Amino acid sequence: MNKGELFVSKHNGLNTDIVHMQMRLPRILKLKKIVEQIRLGFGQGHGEHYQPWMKIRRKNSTSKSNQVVAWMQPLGRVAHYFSRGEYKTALMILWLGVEDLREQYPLWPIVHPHPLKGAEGAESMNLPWVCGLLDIASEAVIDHGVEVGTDIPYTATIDLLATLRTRTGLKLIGISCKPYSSSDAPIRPRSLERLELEKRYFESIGEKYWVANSALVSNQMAGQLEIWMESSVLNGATDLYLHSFRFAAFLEEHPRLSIAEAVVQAAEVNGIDEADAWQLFRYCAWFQLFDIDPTKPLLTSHPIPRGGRALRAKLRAAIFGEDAR
Amino acid sequence: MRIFDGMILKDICEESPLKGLHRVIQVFRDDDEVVLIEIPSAGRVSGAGIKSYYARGFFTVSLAELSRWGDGKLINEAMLVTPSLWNLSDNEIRELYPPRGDKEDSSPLLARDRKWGLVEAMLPQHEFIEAGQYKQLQKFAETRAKEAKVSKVQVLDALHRYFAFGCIENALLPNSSACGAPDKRRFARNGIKLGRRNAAARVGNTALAGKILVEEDISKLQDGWSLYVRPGTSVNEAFFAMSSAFFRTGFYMKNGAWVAELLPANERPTEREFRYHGPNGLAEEAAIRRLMGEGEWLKNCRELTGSAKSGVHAFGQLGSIDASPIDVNLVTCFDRMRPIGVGRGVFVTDVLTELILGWHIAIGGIGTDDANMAILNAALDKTSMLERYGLQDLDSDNFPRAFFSKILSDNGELRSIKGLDYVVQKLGGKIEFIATGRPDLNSPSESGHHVRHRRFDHHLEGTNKGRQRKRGEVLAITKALLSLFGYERLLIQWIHWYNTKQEVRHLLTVEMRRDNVKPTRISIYRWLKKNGYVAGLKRDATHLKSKLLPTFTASIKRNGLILHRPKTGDAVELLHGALFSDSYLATSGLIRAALNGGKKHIEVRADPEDLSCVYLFDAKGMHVIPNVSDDLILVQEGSVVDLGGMNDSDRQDKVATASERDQGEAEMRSIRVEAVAEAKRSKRAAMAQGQTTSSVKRDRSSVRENQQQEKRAQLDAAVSRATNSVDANVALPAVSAEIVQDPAVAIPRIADQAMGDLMRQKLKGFHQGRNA
Repeated sequence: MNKGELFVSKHNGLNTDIVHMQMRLPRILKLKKIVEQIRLGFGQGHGEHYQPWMKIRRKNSTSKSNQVVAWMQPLGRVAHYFSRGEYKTALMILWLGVEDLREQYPLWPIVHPHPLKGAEGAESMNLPWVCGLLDIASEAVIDHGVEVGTDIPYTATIDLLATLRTRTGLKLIGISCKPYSSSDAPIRPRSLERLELEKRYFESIGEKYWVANSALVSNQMAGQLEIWMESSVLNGATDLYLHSFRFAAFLEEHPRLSIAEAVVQAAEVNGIDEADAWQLFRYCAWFQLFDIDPTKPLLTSHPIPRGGRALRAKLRAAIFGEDAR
Repeated sequence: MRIFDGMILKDICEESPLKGLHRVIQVFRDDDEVVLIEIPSAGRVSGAGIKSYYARGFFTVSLAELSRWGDGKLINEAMLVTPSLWNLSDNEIRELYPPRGDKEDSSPLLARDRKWGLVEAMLPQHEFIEAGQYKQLQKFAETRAKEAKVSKVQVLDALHRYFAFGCIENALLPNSSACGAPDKRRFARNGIKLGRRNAAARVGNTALAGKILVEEDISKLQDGWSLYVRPGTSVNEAFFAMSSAFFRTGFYMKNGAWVAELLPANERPTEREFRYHGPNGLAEEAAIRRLMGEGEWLKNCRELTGSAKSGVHAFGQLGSIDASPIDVNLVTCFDRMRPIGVGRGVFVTDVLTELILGWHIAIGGIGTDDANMAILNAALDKTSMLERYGLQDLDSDNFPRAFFSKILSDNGELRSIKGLDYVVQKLGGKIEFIATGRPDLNSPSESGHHVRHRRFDHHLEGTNKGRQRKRGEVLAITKALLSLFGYERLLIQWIHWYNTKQEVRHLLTVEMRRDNVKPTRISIYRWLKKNGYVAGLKRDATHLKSKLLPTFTASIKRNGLILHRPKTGDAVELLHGALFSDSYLATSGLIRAALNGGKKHIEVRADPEDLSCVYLFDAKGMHVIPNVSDDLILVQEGSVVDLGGMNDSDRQDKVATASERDQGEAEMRSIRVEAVAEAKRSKRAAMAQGQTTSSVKRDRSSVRENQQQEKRAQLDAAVSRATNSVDANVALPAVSAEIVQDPAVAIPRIADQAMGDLMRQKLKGFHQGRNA
């Protein structure tokens, strides 16, 4: 029987004719398409030249999560996050300070170059080729999986791949963002297998792997970081950069002033207008030029809530490890 | 590591000398001694392979050593999460586990009190006790056990639990209180029916007690539930469908149809059992959810955790965009009798203040261009727009503007290459697409639509009230009255009221109330701006226009640019009302190039609702090319849709009046042909009569001479008319066609006859008047 023909059985006295129907075929990612994506540079590159393996398009909406397409100022490019949890985690990782953060990074099924290959600062590193996820899955006796409707091995992706500059050179951290707020949350067996494969992949290349849960970055913190990140690049107002350290020092020296008062006075001291002062405030907050905690509600009639630097150090130590610079 | 009373310690590696969780009971710094007790945890298995919750006794460790273990990362401080039941009051526990049978109180409380009774008398009455006293307590246990006539282990267990869990009485509640809880699924076994007995069973008629449901039966109930419980189907109906499918003996024919023959009622489950087991023992909502359908349930019945404003701290940080019909039938601007249907609007709302910042109303389907227009509108100053609509009285400052840091959108208009490319890639914004089928996640827009419809749209003439026509109601489109321009003018005024006048006390925070902020959205916005709660991206208006205005193709003509009608495929349909011209077109060489065979079509950007100008972007920047059309109303009020409508209308009229028009053309042609033929005949006749001589020149050189003769002849005729006329102003009577055919011959005769007739008529009137 050809595709598009629906055969209705003779049994039960039903119609026996072959009914020609326009059946909707599933959208299949063909090898040609994969090759085209690789040729276009999907899942390759670093920094602003990186392109994620999967992008948000007209046809790939989901009922499971909100998807975010965002211009990320610290990365200097558009990033595609397939859940709000991924976006929030990315905001936090960028705030903690990383060299690069690549989303939807492919863990290729076959032998491939090391994910750090081509990164700035990795020229002198002796980076071996990495064995494919197919081999890792076979070793772990876990089904690797294929692209829907084909026998082409599935190209798994890690939600976020951070590149970090440490004392010993560049390091990677694979981050998987999952919507589990507690260890008791029910997880599908296949998801666990996927996580295991990711973990083994990063073990095989000697890099860290971390499963981020949605409870780590609160809406409060994400909202605050989102506003600060907008001002993390002083495009069109580069002269403000010259005032940043003096501005931040004023805020540090006057911890009892309310934020609104402090900003207005700091603006006067620096000879800048109020709108620019608020932009500078956010710029300094993003880089923690003065100590401010993004997890606490920010009321401008109150003094600056301190504790951001300690939080950042703690999170860096917990996520990146001890040797993170 | 600093060690303190009540601290919980946890081992973090295999080398750790403390295994599991421990509580610091008391620190005796002077004696360099710490009293610890192990905290029993569920995972511990006794030697007999049974889970053990027994708390082992007190022991002491050197304070210095314990600190060293902490510093050496062998142990770490931990947090103990106690069972939630322990936090409840006695009454709450009693409500959860009511007394059963002839027991005087709830079972867990009785068990707790019994244990408490064992240890209460042993506990020290003051806080300051010595380290050795804890071990003494264990020695007292034997005596106490004898007094209470229980085993020593029971007393020690109660004592240790009490201390291990931080000296709270509820720690003595039994672990088994969660066993056999209401959530636990049970199946009938050993032929014993579970649940309440029915009326027949109560009076001893066990044959009618009902079916004993085994696991398979419950599966059938659940399958039946998933198969038949659907939106629009009652549970009762689904129950019969399920019974017919799973609990029948066969079929029989009735009235020509096969009907299922159900098992006797006592051999199949009841509807009550179907309702209970069907939704898989889940919460009550499962049934409602299934009956309503997932989408409807999520929209109207889902428990709302958090709010759309969660994590939004500033104006301009998050905008919400969505499209919805305006629910008002409109007419064209050039003909109030010509309806154009219900328009659709895209609105951009600030999530924090609920201010409406941008909007765009379109006729027909809405696309990415319309969404981009609304985003652009939100970011632009409204002064010129207010002028265009004749609303200069409204202060443009009351229409705040922002290019949002992030836009919350459904998966509609903005989810396209154009939307992502312009808003994110080129303008550096962010878009968050909400999950499909979850409009509740974009609540600012959805509730905004509701408010706008209820308070504005549904009060306008021609509204369909957002629903199907009811019986007896006049079709809404027949009452259409407003043009798009007229609707938008009213909409702007309503938005002004919404932004500046409507009281929104629920949006005021205590911080705002302290500053006596008026409860209007605009006042809240101004306060937020003053106090630094403002985000959003700074973008130049020209830059925004160059990216967000929709693109139109225009033909380059000698007199300017004429827009093409959009979405006509390869066909070019010119919109003649839209003629845009400016000196730049000539000086830039665009027109010259087009006339010399170069590019004849050009891309321009324009607001389809505003025909006053188009924007031409080239290497030299942005050029505003004004509309030079003489039709002022069209320029002021018209839109691209109107121009398209005019073209359509003209085309229709052309078809409708084809007969009349063709007839007129044919008439003119016939008259012309006949006149020429008659003139030729006359000329031939004249020539035949010898009226022409060989001396008359027939070439071009004689034209001037002939003209002189003609002028003289006309002058003679005029003189002749003047001398014969009584009244110089009297008009000549109509001249019949046959007389006109040879003017040279006919004119004197006509004049004579006509003037003579006129004179006679006038004199006749004069004599009649005189005689009278």
